[in-house]
Amino acid sequence: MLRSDRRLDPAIQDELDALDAALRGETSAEQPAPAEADRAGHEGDTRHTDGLGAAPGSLATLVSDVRATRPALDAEARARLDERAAETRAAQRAPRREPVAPRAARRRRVALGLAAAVAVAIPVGGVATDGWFTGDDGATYIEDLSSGGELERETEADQASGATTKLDQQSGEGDGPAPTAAESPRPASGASTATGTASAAPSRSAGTPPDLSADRRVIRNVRQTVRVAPDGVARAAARVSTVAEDAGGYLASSSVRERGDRAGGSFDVVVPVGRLDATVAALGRIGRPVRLSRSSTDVTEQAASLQDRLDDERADRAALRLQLARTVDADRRAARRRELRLRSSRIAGLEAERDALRGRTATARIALRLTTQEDSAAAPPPKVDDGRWGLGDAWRDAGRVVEVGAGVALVGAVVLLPVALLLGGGVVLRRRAAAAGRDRVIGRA
Amino acid sequence: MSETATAALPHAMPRSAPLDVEALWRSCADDLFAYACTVLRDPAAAEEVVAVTFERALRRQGRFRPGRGEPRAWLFGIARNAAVDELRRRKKGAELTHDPVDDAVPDPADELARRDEDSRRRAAVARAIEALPGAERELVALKFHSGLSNAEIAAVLGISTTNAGSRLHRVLTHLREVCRAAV
Repeated sequence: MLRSDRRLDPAIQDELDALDAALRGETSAEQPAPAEADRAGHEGDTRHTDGLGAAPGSLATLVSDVRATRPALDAEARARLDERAAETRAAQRAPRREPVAPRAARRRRVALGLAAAVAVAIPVGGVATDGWFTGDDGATYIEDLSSGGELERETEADQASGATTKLDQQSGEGDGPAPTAAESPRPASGASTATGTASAAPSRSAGTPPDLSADRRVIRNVRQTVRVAPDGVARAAARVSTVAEDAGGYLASSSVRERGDRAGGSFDVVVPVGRLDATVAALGRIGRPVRLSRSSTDVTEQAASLQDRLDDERADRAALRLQLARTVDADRRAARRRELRLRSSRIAGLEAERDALRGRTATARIALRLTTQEDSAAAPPPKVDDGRWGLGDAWRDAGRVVEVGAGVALVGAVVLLPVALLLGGGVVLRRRAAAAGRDRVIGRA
Repeated sequence: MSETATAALPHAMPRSAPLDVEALWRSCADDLFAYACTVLRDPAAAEEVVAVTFERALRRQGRFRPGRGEPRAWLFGIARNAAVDELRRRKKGAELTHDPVDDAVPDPADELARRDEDSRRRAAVARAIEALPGAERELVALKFHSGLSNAEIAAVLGISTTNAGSRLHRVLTHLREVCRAAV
């Protein structure tokens, strides 16, 4: 409410100082105020020269006159006031109470603190229960936290091929070999060690869930990048071939550039699915693993559909053969034979398709890339999770909590700031209105 | 009047010491009464305001912050609110008026006017103060009757010191003109 206005006019200030001096009973008040003297001079009012106004002692006289009107407490009133004061004092002392305001202020502070804590706890708790930390449903987040690198797993419903699972893992120099499924702390992450009827990700829920992985047919693919020394490309290429053969697989295709700025190679390695992880690990040891991406496609439904169609065609063919044996008419027999050939052709196609699918689920393809480029290894350093919650995990979790807290605080501030401004403005306006109201009441008195 | 109490108060109550509300109130009781009586123009109501001021001050002594102003200004602020409450109460209930003029009793102002020039002048000043609007009468009470400094008046009224000085100068000028006319 207080404002720092401009300074008073010096003449007015002098008069006010003189008034203060007069109120204190000092003699300086006997001097005429400059403004008053000027005014008297202009007006030429001789009445004021020895009386009031510009005359010496005028201010003191005025003070004396005004003080003469001062209401005074009489003895009776003073006695009554003393009595009431004593009663009030006694009433205050009887139940010794703490000052109201500080307690109220403390309560307000505690309430505000609790409200702030709840405001932060609710979103953080919501985030936690959503699985960010519990892992109920948040495999993606947990993987990301634990590895720190690019590690993604995505699941999508595929009409024809069923579920597709993909897992990328990126590591830097000094990582050593990429973890095999057996070594991995999360064997259920899609890199199963099973055969063609591999097990899918097991359920995390408690109890004894049905074995959904039984008789599943899964196509597995791996994309792997390994950095080798620029002069070691040829040796690494030979090693790739050896690894593939040792695993009972083969090189479906290969392309090697042994020299030059872009020396390296790309290989398409096909191995039995049971040797996939061992092969991946062995290929990782050729150089320094840079990137490992696994994907799997569940084709169980496709295989079942194919088998059903094949069974139907075979049954139809058997029926046709029976009809052919019973047919006597030459033209009809010729027609039956044509139909029988057509059925046999279809059955052969379906069988080929089934065998191809079996082959794809019985083997796994590794798209291996050998590189000598530095930038390909520019990824963050080792992020392979050992499955234990360590100092790094704590650091990352703490950072994440701080990040979430900051986000919540930011959102809260964005929401609360206008509200606080409105409330503050309302309080200020209310106080001003109350002060103006008091002034009006006093002014009308 | 309590000039002595007014002058001695800052020394008697250093800012670091806990506020002794009763001592403060007792030292200001006369000034509070003069202020309330000038504003309300009713001695009985003024007495009530002084008593209520003590009750409220005692209840709110925990709210007093030495950094925000002098204890006297704080106490007069409470008294002002009590006076405003009293005025509002009157407005709702009984007539807002001071004691009616009793024709049987001679007006003290007239009595004074009959004596001599000083008496006439004082009577004129008394009438002038009586005729002042409430806000200006309040200033007279705070400055002349209660001896508050301009800064304390500003704190009580919730205005700036400059504004308080400006208003005070206006009242002072008016009173001086009344005095001049009375001579």
